[in-house]
Amino acid sequence: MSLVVDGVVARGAFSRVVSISIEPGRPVGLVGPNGSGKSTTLRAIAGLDRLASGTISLDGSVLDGADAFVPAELRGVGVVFQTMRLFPHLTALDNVAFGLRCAGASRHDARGQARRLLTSVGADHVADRRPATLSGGEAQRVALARALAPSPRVLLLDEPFASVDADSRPALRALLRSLVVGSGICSVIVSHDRADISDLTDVVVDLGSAG
Amino acid sequence: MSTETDVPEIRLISGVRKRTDMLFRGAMTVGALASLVILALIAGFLLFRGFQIFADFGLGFLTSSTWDSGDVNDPTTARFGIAAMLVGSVLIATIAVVVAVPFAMSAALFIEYYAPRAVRTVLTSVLDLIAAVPSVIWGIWGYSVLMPDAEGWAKTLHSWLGWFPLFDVPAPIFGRSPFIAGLLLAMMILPIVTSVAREVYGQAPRDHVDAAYALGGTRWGALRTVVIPFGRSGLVGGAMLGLGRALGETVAVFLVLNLVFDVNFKILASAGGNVASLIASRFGEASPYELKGLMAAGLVLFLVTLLVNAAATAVVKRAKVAV
Repeated sequence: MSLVVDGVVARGAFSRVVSISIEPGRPVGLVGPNGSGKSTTLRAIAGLDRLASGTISLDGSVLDGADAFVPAELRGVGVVFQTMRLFPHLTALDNVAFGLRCAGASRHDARGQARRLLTSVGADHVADRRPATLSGGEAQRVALARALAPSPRVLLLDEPFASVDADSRPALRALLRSLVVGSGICSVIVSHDRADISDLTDVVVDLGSAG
Repeated sequence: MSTETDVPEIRLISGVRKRTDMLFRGAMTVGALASLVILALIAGFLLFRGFQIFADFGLGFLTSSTWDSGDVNDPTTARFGIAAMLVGSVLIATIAVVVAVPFAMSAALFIEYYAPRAVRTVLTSVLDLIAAVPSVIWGIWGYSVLMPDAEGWAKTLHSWLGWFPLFDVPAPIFGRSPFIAGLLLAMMILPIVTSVAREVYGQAPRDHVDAAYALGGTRWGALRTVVIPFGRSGLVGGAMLGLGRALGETVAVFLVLNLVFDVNFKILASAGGNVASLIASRFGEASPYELKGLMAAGLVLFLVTLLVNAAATAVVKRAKVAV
């Protein structure tokens, strides 16, 4: 199973040709200056924006192409956003359970699974707290658990440690690396932090200069 | 190559406001205070004209349901109380809000998140148009079109839920009831509540909606998890605005409600009260003393509306804190 992006990503007046291939268990790091199209590429893979031209395919089936477009909710993609975007009115546990509930799990089962995931990312102690009361590191762990909860086929991480203090990053990197490599899913990580890229990824794609 | 002329002059910071700033500030202050002054003037006028009624009847004016203008030449024979009208106003306005809010919510979500652009434009224009329909037209429509149908709905409700006191009737007459007045008011306040709901739902954070989609959420999942909770406080505010309008509505209610001076909680019965309609129905032929009674009733309605708006502000603030 591999994810292939071969086309033009575009947002507003910006556009860029992107050609990358992502193998399972071998995280790809997207690097480049601001405005080079890293986040736009992630949005296209997630299905939040369409490609201007070209295709995105997962394991041979086209997710985005001239004649086909699989919407975000049907792609089986997990995303950790730069600003995390945890739902503010839900507890950490219900944030993690959200994707499972959308996939059809009962409330009881979704919460049970969400609690196990929070434990696996070391955030079970914040299960009943709302995002506003979490530290950057805690929120990041919850966001990671939320993205992994529906067992995605692809995991996308946009500046995953932007809100985390420097001391907490090594532990989170190690956790993320073990989860991503261990689960054998395709993953793409965007970061300006060289340590993130070198510790977390096996392949680096440089999108070059700003578009 | 830079020259000396490229260096900007040092900007002096002064604590003294510029004249234009002061003028603008003054104009804004006057504008903001004007609404308060107008409100105070209205309240003052009503209190001035109706004070004698409060002095003569005290709390009885609020707790009694008798409205008898007595002998025109002998004010001591008059008896005024607005309990039935006040209860009726609140009852009808509540029915209107209970009926209108779910429709407004659905309409707003459909327009913002489901309707194609062309349909959205048409629906928004239609809603704005509905908001501009004069209340007397609503009243005529309510009397001649809505009421004959609504009587049938009332009969059905009574046959299913008649065991519950709210849906019981003393006699099998279902026309000109608080239920029908409430339905009519619901349609009248629908545009304003929908408009507010649309506004707040449209401002739901796009980032969070995207996050919901990216986690496998369907459109309904995203609406339920992000948009509706985000817009909760705004929707409450819109509902309260509608409630305020419903409480003060006069002509339309007057045409479809049988004004009866008895406190009545049976919403399907052909008997109800409404302060605004009371004023409209008695104003033309009122004696000077009864006119004072109507002014006092107006003041009570004014205060109730203010209270509802204050409660709305408090609810909106609390809902914002909760989200």
